[in-house]
Amino acid sequence: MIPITDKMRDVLMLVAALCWAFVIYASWVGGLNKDNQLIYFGLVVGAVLTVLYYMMGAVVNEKMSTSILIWPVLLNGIFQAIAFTIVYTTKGQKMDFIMGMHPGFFAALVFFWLGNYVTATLAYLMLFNSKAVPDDEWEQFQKEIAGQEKLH
Amino acid sequence: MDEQLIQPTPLIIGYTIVFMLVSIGIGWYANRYAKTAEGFFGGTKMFGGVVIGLASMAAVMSAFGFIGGPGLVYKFGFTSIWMTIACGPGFAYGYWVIGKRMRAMADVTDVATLPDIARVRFQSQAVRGILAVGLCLAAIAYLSSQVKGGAKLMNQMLGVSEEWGVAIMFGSTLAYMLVSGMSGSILTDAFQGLVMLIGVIGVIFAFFAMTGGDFSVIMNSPDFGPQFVDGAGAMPFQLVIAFSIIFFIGVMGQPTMLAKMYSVKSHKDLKIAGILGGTTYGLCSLVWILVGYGAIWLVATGAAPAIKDLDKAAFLFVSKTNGVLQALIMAALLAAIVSTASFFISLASGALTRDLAGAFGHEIPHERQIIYGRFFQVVVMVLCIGFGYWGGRAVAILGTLGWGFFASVTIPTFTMGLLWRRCSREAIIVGLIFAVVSNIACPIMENFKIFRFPFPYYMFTLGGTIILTTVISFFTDGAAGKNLPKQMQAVFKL
Repeated sequence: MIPITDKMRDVLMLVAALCWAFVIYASWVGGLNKDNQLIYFGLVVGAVLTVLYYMMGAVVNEKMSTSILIWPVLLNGIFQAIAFTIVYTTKGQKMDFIMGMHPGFFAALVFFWLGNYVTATLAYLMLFNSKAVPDDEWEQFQKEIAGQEKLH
Repeated sequence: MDEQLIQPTPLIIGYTIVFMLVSIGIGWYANRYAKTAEGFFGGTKMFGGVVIGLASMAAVMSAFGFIGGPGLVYKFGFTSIWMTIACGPGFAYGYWVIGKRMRAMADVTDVATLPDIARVRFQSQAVRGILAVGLCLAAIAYLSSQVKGGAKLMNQMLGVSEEWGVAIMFGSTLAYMLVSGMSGSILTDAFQGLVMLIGVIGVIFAFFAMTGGDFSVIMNSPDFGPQFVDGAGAMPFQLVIAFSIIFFIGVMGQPTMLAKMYSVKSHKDLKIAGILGGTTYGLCSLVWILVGYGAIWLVATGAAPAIKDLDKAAFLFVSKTNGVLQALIMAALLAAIVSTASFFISLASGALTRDLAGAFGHEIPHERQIIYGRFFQVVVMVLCIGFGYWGGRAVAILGTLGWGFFASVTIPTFTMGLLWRRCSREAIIVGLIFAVVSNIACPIMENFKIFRFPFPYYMFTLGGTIILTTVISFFTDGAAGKNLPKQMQAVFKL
């Protein structure tokens, strides 16, 4: 189990803020200078950003299991990065189609769209009871607030 | 009246009338859930996962997805599709990140609106008030920008004038919203979601019957070319950053989705809500993709002349399908508009009734809130129609307030606020003020050609708000860390 403590969250939030700053910079400078490589780096950092929020959310009682970290959390970012890489390298080129699709189109649909489904939607279906919202943790929460007045 | 691409057949008119009558019937039935302020403004803890999943999808997928999206695909190829392919899986991602904590908030306090949660988390009426202003403003602006689109749709479907179209569409929506508020919106949205899914089946069938799925015609067409079939499209490449990130992370910043997280009856319903919402949204994304590429294919093969008005791309595609498919697809378009409109009417009226007055220390008595809520629903509707028709340049400016605006006021407040104990009241107040001001200032500057970002301005406003909130949280501690109420500590352990 990996502890995601308050201090760790401080670090993750700080890194997320830095990622946002870079993503804006890459869009701004990359857009003005038509620097597609910088924009590509911005896309990859965007994938990192999604992983950071995922890490903070897919936690139960301040702990995350190693298996959750690998799938779905890290795999989510990896799928996105693969999609962005293929889209960037095939942009605007006439190429042979894969399954009736341009390779960039194929990568966006398969790695980004379906890949994100596997690492978010399918993972939520399979891991809901055991890792996402375990019943015992919810019952513990209910016990904890049972004797307390409602917040106003 | 616009050029009539679709002929309003008895089948289309009949299906539309049945659709509206069933929506009104369901809305009236939902009155049983709307006896309290929590039920009327929030539908809090009342519905199962299937209803919430379908309703979330229907409310998030607006007319833009069914009409504006295909138009952008027609003009620029794949670029805009990043929005919709990011959004679908973003549903479950959002549930992973904050679903359980949003639902938990409904157990530690009485929740009817999103600003209710913000007030309790940050122990601040100022946070509640600023958030309410932001949500209300964006909801009205967004709805106003939908008025003309809705009128054009009714014009194509029923052959009536745009004025009558507006009266029929928004009149029937108001007919059930006045009775049941957000509970009615959620239940009718679920039904309208089903209508949208039926339309999607029609689109898939029509697209492959029409084109055979052959994109090489588009790549080799002198009017289009490889840029129209690759994964980046013809818009500037940096837009892929904004679309892929903001529409993936930003789903959990949409009130249409956030407010549903506390409407589920039990925490177990989060599972179905998250999965069904994302999966059905993914199916509806096919309308954006296939209708857009269907229109390109028609023009590339010479089966139809090129069009100038991008909003006509969807109607061009539909006009080439048979009568039954036309009825199914057009009703799905109508469902997309009505479901989003009903949610935003409820959101804005709730913010005006409960939160704005409350933030200034004048809580409206609980038993009178529903009456005031109904009054404000009418006010909001009249404002939106008037503004939509006669707002001129202001509509063009404020109509851009939507996805990005909502994300910039809600992601710091709820995502950061519920994930991070250190997120402080002072930081959120500064962040929210920055978000509201910059989201209004940026489109004004763009519209008056004073300054334009080389990317959608909402990426700057969202990123800027998050950076500001993060930095200030490290130096302030209001309602943060050890200053959090005891009940909130339990939420953070989930």
